[in-house]
Amino acid sequence: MHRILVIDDEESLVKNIEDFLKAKGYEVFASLDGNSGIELLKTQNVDLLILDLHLKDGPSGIQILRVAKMVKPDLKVVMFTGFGEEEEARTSCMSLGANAFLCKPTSLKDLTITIEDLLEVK
Amino acid sequence: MDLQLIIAALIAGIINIILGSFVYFKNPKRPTNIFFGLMTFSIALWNFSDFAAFIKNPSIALFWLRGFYIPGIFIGVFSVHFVISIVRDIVYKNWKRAFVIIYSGAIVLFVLTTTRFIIKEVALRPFKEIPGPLYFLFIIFFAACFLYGFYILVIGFRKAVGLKKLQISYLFLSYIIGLVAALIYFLGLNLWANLPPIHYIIEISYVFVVTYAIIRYRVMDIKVVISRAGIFAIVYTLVLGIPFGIGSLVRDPLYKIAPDWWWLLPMFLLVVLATLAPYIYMRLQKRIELRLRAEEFRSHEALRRLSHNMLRFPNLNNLLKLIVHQLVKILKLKFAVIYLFDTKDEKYIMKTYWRPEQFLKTAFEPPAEFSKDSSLVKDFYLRRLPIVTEELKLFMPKGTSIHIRELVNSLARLKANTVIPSFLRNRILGFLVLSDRRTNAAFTQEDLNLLMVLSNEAALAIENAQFHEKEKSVLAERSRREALADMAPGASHQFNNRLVAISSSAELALFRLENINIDKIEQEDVKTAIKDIKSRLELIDKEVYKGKEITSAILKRAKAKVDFQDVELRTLIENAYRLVKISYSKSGLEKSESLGFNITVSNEVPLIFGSEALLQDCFYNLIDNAFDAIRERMGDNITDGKIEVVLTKEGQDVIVQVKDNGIGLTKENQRKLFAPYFTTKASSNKGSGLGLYVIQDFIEMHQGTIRCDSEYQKGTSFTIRLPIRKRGR
Repeated sequence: MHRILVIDDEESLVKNIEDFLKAKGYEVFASLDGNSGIELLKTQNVDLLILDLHLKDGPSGIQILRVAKMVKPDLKVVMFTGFGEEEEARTSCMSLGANAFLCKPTSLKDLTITIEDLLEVK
Repeated sequence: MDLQLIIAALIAGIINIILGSFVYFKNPKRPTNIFFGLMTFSIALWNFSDFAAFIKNPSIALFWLRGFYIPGIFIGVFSVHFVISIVRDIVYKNWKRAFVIIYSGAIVLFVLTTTRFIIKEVALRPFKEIPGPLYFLFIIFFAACFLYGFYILVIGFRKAVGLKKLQISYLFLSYIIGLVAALIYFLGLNLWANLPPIHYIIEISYVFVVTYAIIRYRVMDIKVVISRAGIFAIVYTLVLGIPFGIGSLVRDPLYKIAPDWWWLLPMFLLVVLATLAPYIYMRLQKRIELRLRAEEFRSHEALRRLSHNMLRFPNLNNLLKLIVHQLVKILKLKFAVIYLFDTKDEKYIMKTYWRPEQFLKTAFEPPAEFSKDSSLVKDFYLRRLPIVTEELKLFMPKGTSIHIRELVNSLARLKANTVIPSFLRNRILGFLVLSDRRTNAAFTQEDLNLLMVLSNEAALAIENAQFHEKEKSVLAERSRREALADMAPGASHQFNNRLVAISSSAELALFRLENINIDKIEQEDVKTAIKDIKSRLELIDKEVYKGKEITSAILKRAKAKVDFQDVELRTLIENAYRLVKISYSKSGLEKSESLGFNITVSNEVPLIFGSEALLQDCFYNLIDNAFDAIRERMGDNITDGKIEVVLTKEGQDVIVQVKDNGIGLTKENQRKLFAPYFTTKASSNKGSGLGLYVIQDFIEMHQGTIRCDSEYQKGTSFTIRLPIRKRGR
């Protein structure tokens, strides 16, 4: 049973993803801001992180990505952004070790496929 | 004395013939020139009558004299004819009656001259014509013709305006001179036998003045001419007269003192005065003209100041308003109009029109535009000079070419007195239309010279202002885009989050419904309700994706980078085509292979300075649209489909044409084509309608233009024009 952590400041989105992934059989933890998210990362052994690139308060997506990779180097990270395709953002995230970069809105189906791809590799 | 007379007669006669022929051949079809020629010819022949002095045989001399007197009769006739031809177009009268009277009088005299009633006999050595008893009839006839001509001139002068008025004033002058000549001649005949032939000199002056009035387009103001001639005469009379006067005074006393050197004093005086004369003349002339032409000089000064100040106005509209206002004020015009060349529409468009308060009631509206092939513009390129309507009409020969008739037409439509072109480096940037002046005075040559200078300076100022405007609009556009770029990511982020919330909710709901076997539900109303809910949710899901396309298009526009470099169009277009093919084959249409795609590069097409990403986007969209259009026309079998891309170089631009033989656009749709959110794609599967709006924007960022030509059911062609990168941009 894989464990997934979602960090995003949009409550409705987080709720929907949580519900969907739970129904698909994953164990899901959610956090609406960076700091509590990182706490969860440290305490729970999470397999995959879904991370929003732009968070309103606290540490930014990139900062969290860096910390996450430091806490758990083999963590799978799916970046999520509402700002559209941005070459620079994608490249920097990938170079920091993110595994996937998705643009909002993405269908839950596609998100699930990406997650399954990444976790199967494990 | 006789010899003197003959030489004078000969010279006068020859000059008359030369001037007459000169004027005649300038415009052989015009009555004014014809009658002037005839008149001077008659005067010449009359002059030659004095050759009778050479003839030894009295009867032959008499015959000669009488014979050559007959042309003299016709001087009167032709002079009246001449004057009538000048005023004919402004004074409407039945001239026939006058002609009948004059010609009958002439014939009577003709007959009489052959008898001894007019010229009794001739006395030789010294030569003198002895008038007969009816000689006075000749004088009366001459005087009658003269007075009648004078009377006609007066009527004409009252009615005339502008150049014509000026011309008639010169003719008045000439009449006075002619009168003096005639008086001297006739008095000399009857009273003083040995008068030197000064009447010839005066006669010649008369002919010269009239010639000047007819030939010169822009005669100088007559007051100026008279004052200059007057000053000249006074100064040189003094220069010559004083030495001679003093000379004759001191001759006797000095002769006694120094018989060989007495003449040195007058000579010395002559030299001194002759050296000073030009300066004295110039100073006197300046002072007098300053008074006479004070107003003209003031207006010139004002025009010069206007020329200097024009460059201070970087705002185009203000500059144009300034020019027309000031011109109307300085030159006391009834109105002024400025036309400027519009590079987009390629014609001259009326930009500003100004008339002072009192003329606001007139309903005159100048034409809105002029084609660049109109005869007005062509004439400007040809002669590079202003066009003065009156001149054109005055000197227009009969049986004119179409070009000149068109020109007159254009000038009439403009109600222009003068039109002045504005040249900027060999190109006509625009032109100034000036109305008649309120005082009805004509423009002098100096006025026109100053106006030409002003108009060319205006061209510089206008170019400057246009450049400023472009700069401003580019800056405004850039700051708008920057503002949009700043705002767009935040806005679209927010929006995307909303979309995600909506779509994921719908998806979740659908997911839950999947676990229900709808057909197994027993209650019909619940079953229908759930079916309905399911389809609505599916709709929501689909709509979200359209929303996503819109935001990404907006974002793309906002973020459109100024990342410019040298771009090779051919490769770019080929890549775009490949991408379109891939997207088609992904959606399962392998038949796209069978479509005909062609890129033709007609001549050396240089690199374009632009953004590869943006340009590729444009061509991708255009080719994609072409594919869709072909599919819509031909269905699934698109073997006959053809997309052709033609690259050419034209002048400073590269032209790219994307042509297809798809369904095409109706005229209605063609007009709306580039509006935002416009789309003809019926199904909402594809196209948020931002495609062409964005493409046009991208092309304009490259300082280019895009145009669409299409025929419904036949095909469409897009023509893109991109300027070539200039060195050091």
